[in-house]
Amino acid sequence: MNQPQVAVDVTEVTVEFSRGRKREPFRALDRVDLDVRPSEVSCLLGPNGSGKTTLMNVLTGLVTPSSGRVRVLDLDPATQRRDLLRRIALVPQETSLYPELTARENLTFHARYYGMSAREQRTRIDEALELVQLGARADDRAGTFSGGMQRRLALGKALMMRPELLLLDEPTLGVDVQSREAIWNRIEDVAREGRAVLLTTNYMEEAQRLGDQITIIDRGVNVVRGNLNELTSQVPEVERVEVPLVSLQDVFLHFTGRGLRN
Amino acid sequence: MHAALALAKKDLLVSFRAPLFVIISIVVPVAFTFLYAIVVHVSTTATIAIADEDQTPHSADFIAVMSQMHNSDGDYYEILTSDPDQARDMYEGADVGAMLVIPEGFGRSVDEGEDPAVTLSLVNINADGTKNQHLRIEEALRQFQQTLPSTPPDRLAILESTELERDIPVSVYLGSALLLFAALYAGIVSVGVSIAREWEERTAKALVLSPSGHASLVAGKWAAAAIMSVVTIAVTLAALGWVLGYPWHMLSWRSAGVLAIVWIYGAALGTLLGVKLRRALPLVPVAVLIAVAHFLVSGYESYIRGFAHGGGVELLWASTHWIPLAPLFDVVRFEVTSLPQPEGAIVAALGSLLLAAAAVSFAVWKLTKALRFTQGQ
Repeated sequence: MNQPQVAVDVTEVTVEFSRGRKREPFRALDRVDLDVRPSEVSCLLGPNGSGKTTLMNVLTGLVTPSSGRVRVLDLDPATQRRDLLRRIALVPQETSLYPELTARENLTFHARYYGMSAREQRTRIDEALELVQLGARADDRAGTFSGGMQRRLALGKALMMRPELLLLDEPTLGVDVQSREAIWNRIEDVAREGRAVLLTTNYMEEAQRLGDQITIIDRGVNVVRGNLNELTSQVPEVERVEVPLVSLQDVFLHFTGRGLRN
Repeated sequence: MHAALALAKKDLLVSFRAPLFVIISIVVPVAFTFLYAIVVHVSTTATIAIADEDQTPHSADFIAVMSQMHNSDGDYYEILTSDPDQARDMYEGADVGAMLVIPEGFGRSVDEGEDPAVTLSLVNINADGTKNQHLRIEEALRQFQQTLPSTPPDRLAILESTELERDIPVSVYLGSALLLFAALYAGIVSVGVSIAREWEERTAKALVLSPSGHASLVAGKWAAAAIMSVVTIAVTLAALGWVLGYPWHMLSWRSAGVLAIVWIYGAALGTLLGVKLRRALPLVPVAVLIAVAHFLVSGYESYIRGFAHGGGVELLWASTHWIPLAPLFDVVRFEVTSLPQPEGAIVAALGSLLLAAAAVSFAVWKLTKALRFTQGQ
């Protein structure tokens, strides 16, 4: 299969919902643009409720945009969803693990449910467990794992499928430094292998470390896109939190404001 | 197919390791069976202590008439004693709710052609129990008098005609309803809870995002739930046989088909509830409510038929026609009592399956929609 030039191509996508008892119209995304290329880690930043997860749902075909163009691996998620789901993997915010099952049983179920052949299962499950450094705990129940171990196992579940595009929704939420470092290393490996990665995060440090491209959205609108250097150069010196370098946090606060989001 | 089997295997393994909801799905129908066993026994047989102060062949004959009265469910009376002192002790000690005194001179009155008199003492805390004792003792006296050569024949004769060849015992009537209640309840709970738990454990999104599609999800959930429901139905059937004497050996493929249809109907409602509620524990009382409502409306239909004139009961009676399950309950009853099958069973079966299909279609539509507004949750 030829690898597409652009793994994710989102152009002027708008998503409108009606919400509340009065079914008032609500624009979750407003003419958002995004592109993710193979061999790159693209980070999507935004305050809570900014539309990050909605955009992830658009990419997986769970939400059909009201307008705009979406192509993921040259497929339309709205109409070619099944074909698309065979080629991508999503690690949602929630780890999607069964606490009563062991790490190996969780991976085995996932592999079977996602249609992996028995022969592939035998090698890939062990590989995935070693990749996320859980080989020694393979036969322990996931419910006994720490938050960091669960996140690693969730990542292992996605990596086992060897996706062309890896979607990660806040992959290091609430994990310890060691697990975070291990997860970051694996994400960088995926990009090095030529696959595309899109991750949403609220951690500036994470985006700064991993992001080849960074997109910030707020209230459903693109506010800025580019690599780290391009973004930091847009922030006036006076607003910088850290001296002497401009951090991504400075960029984020400059574009999204300092007010709390409820 | 592989995806559905993988999901079913996973669900069975999870249920084996965390069996709370499997136990809940078994406990409720079995508890209902024991509750109704008491109801059936009380409605069939009345306990009584007799103080036979007469001690003549006539008083002995009267007691014999009482002890032989019965219907298809069992004896009318359980006579605890006929000793006068023991009878009084039992009544005064509240060990029995009714005492019949056959006074000295009872036999002489009979021989002399007088109307014999007995005294009935009652703990009338429940008018239904009082009525039961009144009706039975009057029938006992009537039957006793008919054994006497001096008694004229009844002036009022009752000519009875019945719709069915024979009575369906109340243990079979209620037992069959309880069996289908178990199938319906197990279908709702086992499917509903296993779907709701995917939300509680935040695993629903991963299932919905599988290329295997929603059909595999529903099929896998149903397959595991069907196996767990077989356990529930088997335990309920054993309880019915043990406490109600339900003749389960009379059930055949026809009843098995009815059980399957009622289970499918329940599983469809469970699918809808699981997707809609997304919480396992609140789902259980809702499942009980739905199953009990069906039990009362469809399984208890003959009890409300006579009250269907005016008020809320008329609405209840009408609903037995909207919910197409009532004839299916009769299929099982008629089979167990070897009666010809009722009309309308095939229409009821098709109607139930149609409703089930509509519920599942709506649930699958909700399944996708429910993931849309989650803000990452």
